[in-house]
Amino acid sequence: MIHATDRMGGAVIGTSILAAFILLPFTQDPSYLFSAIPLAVLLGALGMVLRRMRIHDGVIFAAHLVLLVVFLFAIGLPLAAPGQNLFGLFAEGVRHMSTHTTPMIANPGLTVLLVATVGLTTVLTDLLAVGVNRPAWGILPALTVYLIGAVGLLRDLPWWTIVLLALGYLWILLADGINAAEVWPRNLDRTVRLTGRITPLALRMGGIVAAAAAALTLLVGLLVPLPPTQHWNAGRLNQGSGPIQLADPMLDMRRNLSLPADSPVLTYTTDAGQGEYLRMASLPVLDRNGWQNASFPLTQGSNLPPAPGQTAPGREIHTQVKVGDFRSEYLPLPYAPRRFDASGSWAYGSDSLVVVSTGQDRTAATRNLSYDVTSTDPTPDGATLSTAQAGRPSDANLTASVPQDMPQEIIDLALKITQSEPTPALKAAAIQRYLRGSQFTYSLEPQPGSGYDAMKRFLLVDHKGYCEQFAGSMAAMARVVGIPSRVAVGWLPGEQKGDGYEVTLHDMHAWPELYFEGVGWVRFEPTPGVAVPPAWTLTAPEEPSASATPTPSAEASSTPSAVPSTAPSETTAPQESGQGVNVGAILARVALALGLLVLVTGLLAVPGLLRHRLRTRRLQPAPTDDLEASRRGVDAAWSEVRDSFLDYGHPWPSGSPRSIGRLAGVGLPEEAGQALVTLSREVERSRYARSALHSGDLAAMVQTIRDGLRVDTGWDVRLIGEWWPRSWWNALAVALSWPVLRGRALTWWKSRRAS
Amino acid sequence: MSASRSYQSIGQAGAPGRPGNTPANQPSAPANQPSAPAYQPSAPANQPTAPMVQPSAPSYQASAAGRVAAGSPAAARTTRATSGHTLADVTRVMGQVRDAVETVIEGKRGAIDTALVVMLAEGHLLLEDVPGVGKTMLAKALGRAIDCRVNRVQFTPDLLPTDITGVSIYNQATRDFEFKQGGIFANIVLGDEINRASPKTQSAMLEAMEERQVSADGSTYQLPAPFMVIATQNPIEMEGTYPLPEAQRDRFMARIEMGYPSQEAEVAMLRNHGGRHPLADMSAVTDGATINGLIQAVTGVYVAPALEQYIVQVVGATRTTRDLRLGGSPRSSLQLLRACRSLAAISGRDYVTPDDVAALAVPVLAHRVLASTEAQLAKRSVDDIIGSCLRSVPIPDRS
Repeated sequence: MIHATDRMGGAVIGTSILAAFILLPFTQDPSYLFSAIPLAVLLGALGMVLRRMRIHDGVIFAAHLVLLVVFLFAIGLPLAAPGQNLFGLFAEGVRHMSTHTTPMIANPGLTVLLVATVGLTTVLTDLLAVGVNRPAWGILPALTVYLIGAVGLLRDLPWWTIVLLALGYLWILLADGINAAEVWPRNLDRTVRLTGRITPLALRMGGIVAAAAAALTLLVGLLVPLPPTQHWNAGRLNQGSGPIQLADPMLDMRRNLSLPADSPVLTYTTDAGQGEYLRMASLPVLDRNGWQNASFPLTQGSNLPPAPGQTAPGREIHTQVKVGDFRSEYLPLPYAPRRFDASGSWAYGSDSLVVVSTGQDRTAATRNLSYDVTSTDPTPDGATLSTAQAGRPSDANLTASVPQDMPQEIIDLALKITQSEPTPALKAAAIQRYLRGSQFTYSLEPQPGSGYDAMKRFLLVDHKGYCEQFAGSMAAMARVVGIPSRVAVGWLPGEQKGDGYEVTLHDMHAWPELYFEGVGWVRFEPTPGVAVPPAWTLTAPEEPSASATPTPSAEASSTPSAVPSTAPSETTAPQESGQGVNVGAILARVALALGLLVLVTGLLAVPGLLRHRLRTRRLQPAPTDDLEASRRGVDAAWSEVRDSFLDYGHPWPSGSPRSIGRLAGVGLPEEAGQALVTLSREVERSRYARSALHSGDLAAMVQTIRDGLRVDTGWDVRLIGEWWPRSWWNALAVALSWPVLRGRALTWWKSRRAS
Repeated sequence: MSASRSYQSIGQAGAPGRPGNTPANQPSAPANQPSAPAYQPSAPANQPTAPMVQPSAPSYQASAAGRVAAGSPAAARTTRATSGHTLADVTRVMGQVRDAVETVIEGKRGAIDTALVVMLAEGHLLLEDVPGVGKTMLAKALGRAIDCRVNRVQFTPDLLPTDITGVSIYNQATRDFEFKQGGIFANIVLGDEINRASPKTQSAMLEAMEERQVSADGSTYQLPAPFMVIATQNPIEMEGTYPLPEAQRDRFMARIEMGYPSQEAEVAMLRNHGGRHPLADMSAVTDGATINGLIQAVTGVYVAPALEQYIVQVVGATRTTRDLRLGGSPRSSLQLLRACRSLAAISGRDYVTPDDVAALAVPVLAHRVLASTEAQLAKRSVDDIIGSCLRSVPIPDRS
């Protein structure tokens, strides 16, 4: 027979799974469902099993939370970056949500966040619908999820999400209706006697369904007319220049770099003679939180103005780019782009020469896009550069300002590094040389961020970072010494494949761009091990030595040759170092997962072990010559029998020992029933007779009874009886119940006051 | 004479033509003989002055001589003191008595057991049932089985107190007043339809029951031991009756309802009783002296302190429950305890268990309490209410 709690538990699982689908429009990556649905089923099943064991609802709620956390750990660990914990993953998910528009691109943090949402929905729905027996309120958690989507994010959810929500509610109400209907026949007789009326069951059932339908109609009527929120900035964007909210490319970069699996992003062919840096975004603003996008006017079109500040005409380069399954609102272009023919609606910023999509499906605009770009080669002459003055670009208010609150240590460091260099370009080269020095290590360990704190830690403390810290620090120090700077985000040239180049996710990169009078924005490369510095940045005296022996670093040793300036060898370095990190990290994760498994198994075995210990203690042979000890022994044996009955799901009648011995032994095999009667007589004598020492082997009797209890029971009942004994849970619930706790606290308080 | 019509004596212990009884009882007779001068009934002397009490002479003689320790308390005490009975004897003898009585009354084991319990606990029994279910037969069979004198007193509205207790009559021959014993002078007194007598007569009877002695004209006459009154009340035909007030009912240790026998028992009864009266075939299995010894032995049954508490709590629960207007008296606690001792001994135990209390709570308490108006309106029986009082008290764990 289906228990009432089972039926409602099933409805809770169903509603939670439907709620999991309501979250589908939030993300482009539906893989979270593979974790969320099993989690909902697990939580629901746990609730059903525990309720069948008649365990207190508070304990069930706690068990749910424990399972939720363990589950999130289990799915979160493989997704987390090395050194990142679950909270880091959550934080990443929240950041991802705040920086991306729906549907958001895949992100491990987001996945964990969505799974956690579904899990929490299940736990709370279960608590409301079964725990506190308020099925009508059981829809609230799922409704909250829906409302966050519908109102909180100001996005229109597809029409079918409300249908899912309504189905979930209907499910819960139906389960409640059927449960109520099951109770009626029992009460019917009494009702008829009291009122003299019979309301047919069908009529009542119909009433329940009608009520549910009315509630559903009301709900739909309330929620459907919510105004569909269009992309509210799309209209203005299409008209021309205007503000646009752009995602933080730094975060995408950090995530892409730390993905365990590398995958191709795009391929390109070029007539430049070597690989090209493909630039997507440019971050001109520096403040205490690091390098950030600024609002800049957008101009619709595909013909870009000449690169700012560049006076030399430069060679025209033609590049054909073919983007794979990569979604972004930024168009990857070699610097400095002049023309491109990508389909869709695109706009550019005339200072940054960044091209962003303004089309309908903006955030996925680059997906499967193929386009030709014509760009001018910015390669400056090393000699010209070394004498160039720091310029003043048109957006100098952004790119040339040193923040007031810039930490003095960084300023001091920048000045110290550059004090012996005469010209701005040499100063910049000195900074680059400093950062490529042996004390700095390329590592993906640090948290993303280019704020003052991250910068100080990187420059002054641990000297560990990846391109974001290297690029950000160099750009910041360049400003200190008077050179306008900004941080560009994009792609390394990638690996040569046949005629063209292939760029993968791990090639995502950030680099500083510095502005020089007459030259314009010049790319520097302070990140060691990833790429060799551009030839023009190794000015004058240092050129040969710097190029020949870039200071040996941890990465350099694993790089076959950092000297050659060919593209292939440039890109092998990060991959190899990444693999080194990965093996250790994988081992650590496996060890952690194993440890967690052992811990969970151990925790699960605790009730059974404690129960076993209690049984051993109770069944110690009681002396037959000491009256008190004999009585204690008999009592302990009797308690053990009572607990065994509970453990194996047999009813334990109330009453005197004799009546219990008679009633409880009914379903047992004869031998066990006989032992029970004998033991009950021992108990009776021990309790009520004048001076009764027990006779016979109590432990053997108890064992016979326990054997009898196990006959004709399923393996699941035996397993639960052995390892999750109900008597233990009951004892726990009693020990944690309010009156007992209060009593203990009062006793403790009194004894303390007395002393 | 109205009295003779309404008042029958049935002193039948020891049927005529069964001489085996007399020799067996004889040895104890000399012991009592010297100490019973005050009350030496003789059949001839008794005969004319006892229009109401008409025992069959031979058997009365035997029992009077053998077991009626009349007149002197010392005599009764001697009988008890000399008993060396153990609890094992209680179980054995009571088993025999029960078997013997069961040959006469089929399928009424519960009622028989309660009667035995009450007898061993020195209480009195109130039988409430319709006529013809074997109330009188139970009393008679019990008397026959323990070889004791049984008197039956039919209560009528014109029955006088002296008819119960006895009266002093002037003897012309001796020129002295002579006490003529009333119907109560017997080991087992069957007071039939006790609610038909006037309250005055009822209280005379109940006083004698409680005191176990009769005072008349300045003399005190001890009633024989064992002494047990089995009174019956007819729950129908209430017209013109004086139902026992609560205070009087409290003096009965237990009340039982015989109830109709089961179909099989009734068929068996037809078969067995068809030919001749089964009572005629019944032989005594023990005697009054043994019963006195057994009564003495029962007092040795152990009652754990926790069970004393339990009994008090159960009776206390009847006082506090809202379903009862009147709960059990302290006397009822005492009687419940004694009944429990007796039941434990009959069951072969030397200690009382909660099961004993549970088994006896309804018979011992039900006739002493009064249901509240609400409970009556809800059609809750007193048995039900006492059962729930019993369940409301947790079974004690340890002594």
